Amino acid sequence: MRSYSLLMNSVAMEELRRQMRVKFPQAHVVREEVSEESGCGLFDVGMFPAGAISEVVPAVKFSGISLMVAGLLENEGVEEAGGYRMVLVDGADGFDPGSFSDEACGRMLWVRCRCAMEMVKAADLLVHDGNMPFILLDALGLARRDLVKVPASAWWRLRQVAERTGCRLVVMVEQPLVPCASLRVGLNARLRLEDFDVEREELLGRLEISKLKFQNSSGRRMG
Amino acid sequence: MFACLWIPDFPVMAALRGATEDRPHVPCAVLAGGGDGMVGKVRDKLPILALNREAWLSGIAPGWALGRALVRCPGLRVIERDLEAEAGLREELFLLAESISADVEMAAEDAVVMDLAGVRGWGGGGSGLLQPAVAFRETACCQRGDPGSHCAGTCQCRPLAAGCVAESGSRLPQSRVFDALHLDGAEVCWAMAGTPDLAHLAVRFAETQERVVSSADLGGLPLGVLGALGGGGRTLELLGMWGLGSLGDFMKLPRQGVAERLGPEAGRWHDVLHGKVCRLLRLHRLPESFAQEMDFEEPLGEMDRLIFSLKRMLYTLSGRLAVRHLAAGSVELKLFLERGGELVRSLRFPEPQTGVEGMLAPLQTMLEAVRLESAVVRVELDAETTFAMAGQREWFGKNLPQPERWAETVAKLEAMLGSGRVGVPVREDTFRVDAFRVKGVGEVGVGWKPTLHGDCVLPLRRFRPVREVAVAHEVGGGFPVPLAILSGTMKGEILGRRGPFLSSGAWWDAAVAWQRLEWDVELRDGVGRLAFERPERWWLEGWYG
Repeated sequence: MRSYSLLMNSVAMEELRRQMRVKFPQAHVVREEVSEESGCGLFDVGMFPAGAISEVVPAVKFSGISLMVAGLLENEGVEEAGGYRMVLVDGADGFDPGSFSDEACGRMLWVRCRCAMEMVKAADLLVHDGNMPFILLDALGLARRDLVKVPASAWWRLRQVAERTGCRLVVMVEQPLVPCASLRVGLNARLRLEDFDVEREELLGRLEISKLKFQNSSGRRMG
Repeated sequence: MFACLWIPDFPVMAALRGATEDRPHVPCAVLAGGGDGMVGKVRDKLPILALNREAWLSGIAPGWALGRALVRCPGLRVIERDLEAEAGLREELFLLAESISADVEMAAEDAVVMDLAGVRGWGGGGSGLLQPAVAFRETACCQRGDPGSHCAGTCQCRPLAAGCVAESGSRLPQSRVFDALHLDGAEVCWAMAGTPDLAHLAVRFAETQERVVSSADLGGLPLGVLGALGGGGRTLELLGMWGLGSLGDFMKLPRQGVAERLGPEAGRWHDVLHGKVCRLLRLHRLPESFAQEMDFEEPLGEMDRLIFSLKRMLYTLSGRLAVRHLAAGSVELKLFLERGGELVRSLRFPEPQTGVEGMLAPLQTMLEAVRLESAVVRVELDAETTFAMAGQREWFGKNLPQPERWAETVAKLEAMLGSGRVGVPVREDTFRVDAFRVKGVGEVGVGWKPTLHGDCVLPLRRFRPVREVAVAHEVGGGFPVPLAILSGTMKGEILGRRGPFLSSGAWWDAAVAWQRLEWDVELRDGVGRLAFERPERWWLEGWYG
């Protein structure tokens, strides 16, 4: 009788767990740990979780951010949708087409914004649209006081829509900003004048990536 | 069986149709190469392209120089070539042929060939319709007192009018074909043969017109006819030197020997003349137009009413597309304003659209972003069509999951950010600083082409607009050498530098000529780019990384 009760309990628990998994799938996602090692893993889109917001923070100024964009554009493994590999929502209009190959430029949809609010609105439209699987939000160059004016609810809303559409949304910002980021990594390129004489591939290989903070679905910091 | 319709003296016939004055009764000619505005001896040397019937009767011929023709026919009037009228006449000729057969080829500027295989009543002999009618035509011509000789190049007969047939008293059931073989102001000749090329050759000569011809019937035609089959000027000359004067002489030669001595082209002529080659027709289809227009008695000042009118037009467009199993790839909208001027907008859909909703939503978003200066008095809508399944099918690319939403999203982004701020960056082929343009989404030719620039190892992050900074510098080697940035958010001591890099452009135009020096400088926080322009201005252009 007791064993039957235990069996029933375990069955009920399994059913309960199944229902919880169905109702809160995001809470049960097995998250990938970011490799502490530097290297081309950064240019694998799969590193950024789908249906979530990730944050990339450079160690100093803009260090390594444009190189990361170059790596993503030139990495053959990145999937395309409608002919575009990614959408770059350029908050401060800082992207320089002259620094990239013509072919790399042709793989990207460039959305040129003038301020933080325009950037968030454009991102909202794109994430809602659900056609683009990978969206880069470049908030570098925008004044911090403008960025903090973006209400936290806007980021949560973006995250909820991204969860629904499965979009990978990556925010590049000078200091941590997004309260609901699922992944936050730091980036350091340590660029010097001598680096003009080396190949870009070597520079990409030298990019250092480190896990900064990690948050679960409730937004509570895990480490 | 194939039939060929031909309008002799096509350029002059087309030009005379458009003439308001009574020119057809005087000798008229059209010159090759225009001749408009030319005077004197230069004009007299121009060859004649085409003549009307009166000019033919005076004894002159196409190819003659105008001066020579005027000696023979002093009353010859030169008329200007009318290309628009020719296009119109050509289209009428095509429609005439299409009323008989669905398979029509524009064999030449002035001739069409049609396949009669699928036409009821044309099977078997195929001439059952036309032959009796020719008899009626001759009868009618005789009743009108015309000579009745059906010579092609110098044809004396006017085309048969429907009324003439009625006057003859006994209209054949097939006589509607003859009614159709009439074009206002232009004569239409015809010939039939077993192959399209034979029919095309036969229609140009009086001896073989208006009947069914076989290879044997072409024997009496001059050898120069072969020129109509394309190429072979030297070969024709050689055949003339061999003493051949007619097609019959050429046809008697053994095919293998001709091909061995004169090449494969002469062998092909031989095959065509013997009816051994029956090529497929290059079918011609008139381009379909889906253009619509709507005039408003009362100018529309409200967007809602404009959208409502547009929706009505889209319903019509959608219906027409559905009937033809087509879809709209893009639409062009023209709004004519009450105060004059017009607004033209094109919208390309990411996927071909057939439904009203799929077309209306992006159009509506686009219109909402437009600020009109005055009310709209007229709307024109046109669509470029494509096949419904022809959009974005790639082997290795992934299609958009919801393409119908994409156009609307892009339209919303452009409405929010402005034109030229959403798209694919394309570098301009110039050394001017920060020269690029943004190709819109869906713009044709999104591909890239190589430019003058090499790729910089370190990608630059630009400041737009560039930031003017104060720089402490010294002069070295005739150039200003930066030592420290004194203002702005990136100020600090310069630890290292590369340069200077001198660039200039547009030196040929003093108004826009430019010249500048660039330095790559390393500060404590990273590496940036400084630019110097005279007189004494420093700019921080961007930051590498």
